[in-house]
Amino acid sequence: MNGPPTSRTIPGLVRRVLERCLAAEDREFLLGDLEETWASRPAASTGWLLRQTLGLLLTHARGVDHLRQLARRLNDHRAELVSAIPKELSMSLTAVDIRHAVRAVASRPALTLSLIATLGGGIALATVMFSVLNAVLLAPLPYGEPARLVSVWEHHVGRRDAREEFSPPNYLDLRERNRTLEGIAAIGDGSVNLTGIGAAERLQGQTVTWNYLQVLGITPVLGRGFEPVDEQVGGAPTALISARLWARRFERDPSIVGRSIRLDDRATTVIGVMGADFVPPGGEADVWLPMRFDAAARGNRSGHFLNTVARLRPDVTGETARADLDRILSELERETPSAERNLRTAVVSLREQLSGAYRPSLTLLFGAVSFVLLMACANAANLLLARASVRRREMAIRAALGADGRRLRGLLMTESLLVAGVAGGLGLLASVWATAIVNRLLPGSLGVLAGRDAAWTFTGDAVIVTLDWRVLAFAFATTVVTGLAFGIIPARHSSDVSAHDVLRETRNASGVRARTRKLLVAAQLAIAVILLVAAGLLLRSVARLHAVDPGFAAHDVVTLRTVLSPQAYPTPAARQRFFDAVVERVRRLPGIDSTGFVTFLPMTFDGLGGGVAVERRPVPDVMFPVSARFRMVTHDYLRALRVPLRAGRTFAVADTAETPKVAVVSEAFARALWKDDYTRALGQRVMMFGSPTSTPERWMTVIGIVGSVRQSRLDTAPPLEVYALQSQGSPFVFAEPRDLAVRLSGTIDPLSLAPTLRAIVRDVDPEQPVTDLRLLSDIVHHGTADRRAYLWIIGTFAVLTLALGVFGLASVMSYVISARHQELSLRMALGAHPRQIVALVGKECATMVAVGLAIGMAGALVAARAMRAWLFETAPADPLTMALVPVAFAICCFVSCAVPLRRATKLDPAAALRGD
Amino acid sequence: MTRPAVGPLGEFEQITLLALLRLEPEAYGASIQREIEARTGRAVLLGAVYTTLDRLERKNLISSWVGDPTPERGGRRKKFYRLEPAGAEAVAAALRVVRQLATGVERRLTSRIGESR
Repeated sequence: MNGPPTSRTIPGLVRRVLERCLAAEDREFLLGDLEETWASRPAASTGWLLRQTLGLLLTHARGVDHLRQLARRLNDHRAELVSAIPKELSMSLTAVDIRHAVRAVASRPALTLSLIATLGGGIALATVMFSVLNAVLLAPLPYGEPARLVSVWEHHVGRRDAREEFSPPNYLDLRERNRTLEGIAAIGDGSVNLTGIGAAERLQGQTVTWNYLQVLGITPVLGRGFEPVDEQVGGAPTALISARLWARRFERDPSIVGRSIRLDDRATTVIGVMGADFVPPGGEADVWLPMRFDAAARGNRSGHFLNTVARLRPDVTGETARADLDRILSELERETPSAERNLRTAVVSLREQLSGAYRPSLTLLFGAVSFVLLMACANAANLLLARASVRRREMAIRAALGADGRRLRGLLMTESLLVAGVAGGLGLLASVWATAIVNRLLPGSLGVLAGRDAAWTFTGDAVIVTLDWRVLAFAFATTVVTGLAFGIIPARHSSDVSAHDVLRETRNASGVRARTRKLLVAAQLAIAVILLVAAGLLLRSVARLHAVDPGFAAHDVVTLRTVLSPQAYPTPAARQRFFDAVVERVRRLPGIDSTGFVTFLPMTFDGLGGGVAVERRPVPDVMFPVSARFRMVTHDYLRALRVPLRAGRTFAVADTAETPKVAVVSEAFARALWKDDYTRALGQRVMMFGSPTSTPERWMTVIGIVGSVRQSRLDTAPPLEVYALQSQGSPFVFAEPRDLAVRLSGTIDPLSLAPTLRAIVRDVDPEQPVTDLRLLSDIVHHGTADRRAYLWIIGTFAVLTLALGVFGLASVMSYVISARHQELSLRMALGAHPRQIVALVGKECATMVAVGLAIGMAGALVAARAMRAWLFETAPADPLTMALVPVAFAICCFVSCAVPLRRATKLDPAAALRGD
Repeated sequence: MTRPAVGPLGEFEQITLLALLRLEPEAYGASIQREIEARTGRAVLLGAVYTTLDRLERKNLISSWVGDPTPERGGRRKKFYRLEPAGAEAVAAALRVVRQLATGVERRLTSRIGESR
């Protein structure tokens, strides 16, 4: 029944294309049917297979179904749409015209193909860019009823940080007393060391309150989520794990639920596995542990380190919730003596929290892509105009036969819409493939786009770009607009013929057309100028950024991270023994200058924030007059980073747990409190994460003032900072050092030290994982990656558009010269010097360049202001950029005109006299 | 659930439904494509067949189910189609129209074709 059994199978390439592109729901049946028919028909040719394949792609490719739904929806609103279309167009949309347009377009394959390539490329680029923008900014978050999810922050009225994390007691009070939230969950760092099965590994994790998944509207795929009992202090340790960890370390064994694994040297029961598609808000995680509020946490009102996600009750707005939460904070202020004063809340939609940081960069890139698309339209219009002369006869005959201008325009518009439609379809298909590539690139590069406010935002893995109905609607709208944009000018010109003119073969009309082409070239050049200026400003910003003094010397420093588990190292003394052992062994290596541990290296994390109490300096009503960042160090760390000493001394070996507690503060900190007289900070007593009444032993005496360090980014002002010595005890475990910095004396290759450093840590504690082994200079370099990425992207676009624009310029110049061929030859025959000819024609070139430059520079000033967020110490009207870009641009333009101009001087005067 | 109003069938819809009816219960994409090609002598795209089947299914004229994996298709399954009562009605109505209009004109048609030869 199926014909003779043959071994013939569909070529691998065709199968792979179909497998990748067909919609998932029908792929199996379609491929099976095709395979069967292909096998049963030995006579079927490759051409047959290609036709079938193309047919399947056009009807059943991924996204086509969306397109069809979209078309159906549009069809439902046909009447309104038709009435919205200008008369001129709707008249032309007849079946006859479309058939005619197909014939006309197909009869000029070379022109049509170049139009489709130009426009298709532009549409594909814009669609891909939009699909990224859509995935990050527009598509709903992957949680239950995401519109009601918010992120809640605290902030001190009048302090610089607009959003601060929650302190545990404040969180608990808000959770109990609020009337506007269905639930509020807290999220903190919960990274742990996984030991006992194979190599020790540092797992990224979060500690979460029991209601975390409930608030997000998510359930585990295996086992159960947390329950209130998991939050009890002293209860049996439990954990949820990610699907990724489950696959990587436990071979997807379903019996993992209920099993015990060693996390931070504590037997912990796995109670559930999260789905592979679960995207934790605010960063990657492989393990979730229940948050447990012990007495110390419950008493710590001023330590702010909890992120939150909350679900609003139905019909409650963010503003109502904010008022409700503020009410609780002011109640606390009255009731509780330890409560901080002037504390308020900020309620931000979770969508805004997670993706708000990406908005400026994505908007910038989208703007750049729009310019490229505009450029493609201008180029296409120019190509059409160049061919218009060929069609003048056709138009004239049609006009003579009674078609009016409006009808001719309609005819031509149908043609360009048809071309745009094919280009749009191919562009969409191209973006289906591009999406796969983008999804592979995003995890590594999306973080780069987040920029400065990157805390608690989406990470690259969290964003999956798909072509949903928004993207398709965008591609469709872009296609239609493109078709109108590139077709309208040529249509107006070609239809504006009188039979009389054409039949007399006058050159008047071609003069008009030349003017239009010149204007189009000027527009193209203007777009190139805008992008060139944008690239120039970014270049300046990157250069300025690299010149910034970070406050430390990044060269010749190797770093690594070792996070000690609180179980293996329960006391500060035990931790100190580990730090001392590692530092001592490292120092004994040859070629080592100095080495030390710190809580967080610069540019890896802002640091722990909190209010600072200063003895004998109470500001009325404010217990903590300033907020600062807190870092604990071993005594040689500041020297290893070459943080300059401004006054006093840094930590010494002689400062121990037995001697009085000491602190070093940053110059910014000292100046914030004592202004120009900042050395008065020396000898003052300060305290962080405590209260003068309940924890007087936390007072530290300031012994030194060091230079301010840019802890978060090169372009962000250094925070106020307090350094404390690890050996003198820490306020809580999270503040303990974890990052090691090793400065080399400069004679050996820093990276050659990596295995030795690993071996040293393994020697001190074989169960201790080492992560993030890298150079400090790489960390700093990574901090400028975002602007360098923009520079690359915008720079590429700029060069691309400049090349297209210059090419258009040269082709119009050739056109002008051949149009004036007779006149120029005659002038030469009458004795004009070639230099005069060049001046004559060159003037036309100069006009186009000047007009393009003027419009471009005006546009660039506007565009530069829009991208101000991306500039660093560079004014939007940066004089150097604004001076250099026009010069470089003009040189490019005149060089490109040289070839056609040279041809103008080589005209044969004799030819003119012969009357050619 | 109210059945959506079904307009008259298009030509290819009619052909597809008839082919499906001839093949039942062995009606699936490839067999329908083969049947149409064999009976009408015109080349048909598999994509077009499926698009039509999808549309007919949406109009509740036919329904589908998925069969078992078959070795000759590389282990892929087939999606089978079956005519629903509404589909049978629609085909019958279309045929009735053709038959009623065609009665008595066939001889005239053949003579007309003969003329042109």
